Amino acid sequence: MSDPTQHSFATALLGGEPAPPPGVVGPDGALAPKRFAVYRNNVTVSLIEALGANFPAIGNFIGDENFTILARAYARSHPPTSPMMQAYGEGFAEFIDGFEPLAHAPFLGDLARVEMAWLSAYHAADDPVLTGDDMAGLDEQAVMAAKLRPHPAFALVRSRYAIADLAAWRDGEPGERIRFDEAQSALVTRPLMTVEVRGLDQAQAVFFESLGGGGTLGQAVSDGLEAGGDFDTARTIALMLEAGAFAELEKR
Amino acid sequence: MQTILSSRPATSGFAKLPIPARAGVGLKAKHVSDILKSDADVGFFEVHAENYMGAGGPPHAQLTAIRERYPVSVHGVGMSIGGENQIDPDHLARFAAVVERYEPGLVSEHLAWSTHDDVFYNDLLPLPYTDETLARIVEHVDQVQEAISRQILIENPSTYVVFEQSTWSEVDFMAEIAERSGCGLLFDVNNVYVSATNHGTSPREYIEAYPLHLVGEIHLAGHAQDADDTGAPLLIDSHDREVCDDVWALYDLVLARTRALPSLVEWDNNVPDWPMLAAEAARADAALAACEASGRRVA
Repeated sequence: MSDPTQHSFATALLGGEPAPPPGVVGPDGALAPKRFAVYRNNVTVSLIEALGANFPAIGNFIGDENFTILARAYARSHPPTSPMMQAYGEGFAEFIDGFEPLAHAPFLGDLARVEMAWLSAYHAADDPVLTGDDMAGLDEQAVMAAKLRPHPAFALVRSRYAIADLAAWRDGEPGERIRFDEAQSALVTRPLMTVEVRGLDQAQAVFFESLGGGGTLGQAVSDGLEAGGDFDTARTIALMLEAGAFAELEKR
Repeated sequence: MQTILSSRPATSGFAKLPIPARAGVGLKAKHVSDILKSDADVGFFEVHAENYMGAGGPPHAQLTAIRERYPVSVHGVGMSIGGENQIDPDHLARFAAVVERYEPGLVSEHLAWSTHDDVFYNDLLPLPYTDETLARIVEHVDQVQEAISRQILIENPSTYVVFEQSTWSEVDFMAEIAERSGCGLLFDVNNVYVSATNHGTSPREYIEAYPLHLVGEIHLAGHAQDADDTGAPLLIDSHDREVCDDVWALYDLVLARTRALPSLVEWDNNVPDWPMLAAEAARADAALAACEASGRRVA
């Protein structure tokens, strides 16, 4: 059974037309736009705040006033479909990519992708991470033939811009000047309870993409070497273990 | 952060730990380390279920550490019990998983809706009080209670508008929901004050008419003041400041008419440092102690 009031109430919450739905009045029985506006305002403000909590680097970078304009536009066109607000903003990066007023900062979409990966990592399952000890018993051939299961927090975001450096904006303006045009990939992990973001060069990114995509360690190393002559196998594997990017050797 | 890590595996269950008739506080991540370090003397902590629906990470590590030391109550803010749509089975399953994981002393939700046609509005929205909405809510409360195999408490709302089509008073509507579904009630004193002010009614008459014997928990919170279309005061349930003196007085009235009950101080926006929040809880504890002392005198 349809309830016309709830439908008209809902559509008036985020729509452009601020008039209260029929039958929604003040205690005197008169239409009360200011009273209804409390709900409109609560909804919009709460969604802007949720996006602000999920994308602090974007907010810090463009400032509160600009973020409010951006977030309001996103919330009205892409309202959440789940009560889990810690996951709200799935399409925020794509929205930013196409948001004309931010066209002068083309790296912000990728920065939002890093922040979404950060959120997923923060809430990911607490699986133990792969350590050097897990591979200690294997000979070199077995190590190179091994496939690794990515840790639930693992994410790789590739970009033409310095997004790993830009991720420092999550805590406010970074002390060091960032060269936006330096191509970086961001490796996002959570080895214990703290999410970590590391910048990778392109050859390292190829290594993690290959390994994270289900390739063997040997294949990933060879892909890394092919991608860049200066690829340092030992250093990259050490970084992989330190970051906690993988959870365990895949059982055959 | 590591100091609050728990060795307890996520799957292992907690033993039941009832909520005492004391003051509790809404748990905020920024307070967890202060609470644990100071071994804070708080009766219980309440959490919003939705914040613990992820798989792991710091939220669960923190809540696990709190739950090992304190009773915990779970308060849902997104079930959309008053919604025209069916309860979302995925959300209900996640809610049940939180309840199973933490074995809370109390579980509660709102007389409100927040989801319509797959959009989640992230607010507690009002509904008309009619036979039709009553039947729908009772069905939804049943579903939730069945999914978690236990009773829930339903909270009275703060409202800013009136529906012309309402045929029930809010007090009778709440009583009837409890009667038909077997749920208990969560009595939010600030909501009573906010709604009564906004609708020009008497909060004392509301309390006097309310089925207080069905109340299992009390909420206290601060509100903001605005004005409506006619310039009359319009209070906003903002949870962003201290509980006002009028609400403390109504709280005393409620306690005088019932008994000492678990009483939560909610402070969700402009969250203060821990000592200020602890002081609000201490004020509620003092009122509860006075209630118990006078109860003993009468007895």
